[in-house]
Amino acid sequence: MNKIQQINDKELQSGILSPHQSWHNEYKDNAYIYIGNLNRELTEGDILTVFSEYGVPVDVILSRDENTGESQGFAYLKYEDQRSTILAVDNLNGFKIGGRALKIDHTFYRPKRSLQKYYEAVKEELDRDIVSKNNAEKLILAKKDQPN
Amino acid sequence: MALHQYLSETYGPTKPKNKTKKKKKESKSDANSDKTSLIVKERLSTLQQEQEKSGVASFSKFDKQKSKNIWKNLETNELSHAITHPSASSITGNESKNDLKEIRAQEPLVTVADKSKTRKTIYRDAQGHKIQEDSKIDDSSFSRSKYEDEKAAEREQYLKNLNMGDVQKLGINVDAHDKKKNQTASSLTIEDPAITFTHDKERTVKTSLLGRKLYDKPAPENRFAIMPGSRWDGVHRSNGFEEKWFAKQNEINEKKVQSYTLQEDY
Repeated sequence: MNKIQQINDKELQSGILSPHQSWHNEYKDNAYIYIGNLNRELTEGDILTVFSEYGVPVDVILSRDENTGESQGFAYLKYEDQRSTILAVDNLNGFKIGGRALKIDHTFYRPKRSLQKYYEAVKEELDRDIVSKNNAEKLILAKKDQPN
Repeated sequence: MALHQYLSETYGPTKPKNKTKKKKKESKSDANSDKTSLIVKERLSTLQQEQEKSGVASFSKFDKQKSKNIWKNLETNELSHAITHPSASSITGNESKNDLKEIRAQEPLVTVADKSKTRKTIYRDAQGHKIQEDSKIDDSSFSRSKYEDEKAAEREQYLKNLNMGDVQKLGINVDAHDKKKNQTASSLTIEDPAITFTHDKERTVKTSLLGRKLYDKPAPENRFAIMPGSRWDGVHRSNGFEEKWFAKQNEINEKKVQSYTLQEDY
């Protein structure tokens, strides 16, 4: 049982349901979450797949060894809407993925200069989700063709 | 008589034997005694001179050679040469020792000078000139601190913008937005029954508030009505907190209703 889970249970018992009265209000300006105790075989794509359930991710940073490129077991993720961080922290804390219980918390992320290319690559990949009018039409045509 | 004496003195050991055969015995004994006395005098004079010059070592050497060959004059010259060499070598040894002492005395002075040099730090211009005034140094450090403070403030502001949610950053009032959505839907369905026949292309693709793709199939409910992103694989992962939240909410609502109904009972 995680400390955050204990705090959440106490708040529920006392009847606090609004995010403005909850402990999450201290982090209302932090859209990043810290994800710890990850299985070392999980990649950025896996993290995005799992955490997209609670909102649209806008940025992801998986900490990797500089020499070998292996995962170090922790990551940072940013949501488009800050309220998604509340959902992720409350619902995925202690959930087991790959045999390991996740540890999730709000955080204030400070980027590193050595990872500049990494940030650009991640942003380029995630910007593909942005829908413009032309893209929407293409998608509609594709969907129409599929059943035919 | 004079020639006889001269020859006997210079060639003493060999010639007296030959003469004794020819001459009488009495003359033999007298000649021998005279020769020995003369020789002894010469040796003593040389001994005294050598003792004055050198110490015991030379004396011992002289004694040894004396025992071996007494009658050779050349050996005395050799002895004098031998004595001079060791004295010369000893003198040179003393000089070398004195030089070493001087060197040792000089070394600590050099180290002291080095220490005094290392104590003070020398500030230099880009051109290499020394800066001796303290005021200049203070001014430069002060200006640097100002510049650094401004830079740090800018970076902090950048980090705040980075960490803030994009929706909150743009100032979108989420609650009002949701209400508007509900109102428009309800009004449209009520007032215009023909809406079912229209086919808007844009609405078929669900997008988030900022125009990103969303999951297009039904998804589990959450307290903020936030739809999942398009990268979700459809597997619901949760530790059960959201269900507890909804149960608690229902419980509170039921309590309100019951309190109202109980009032009617009274």
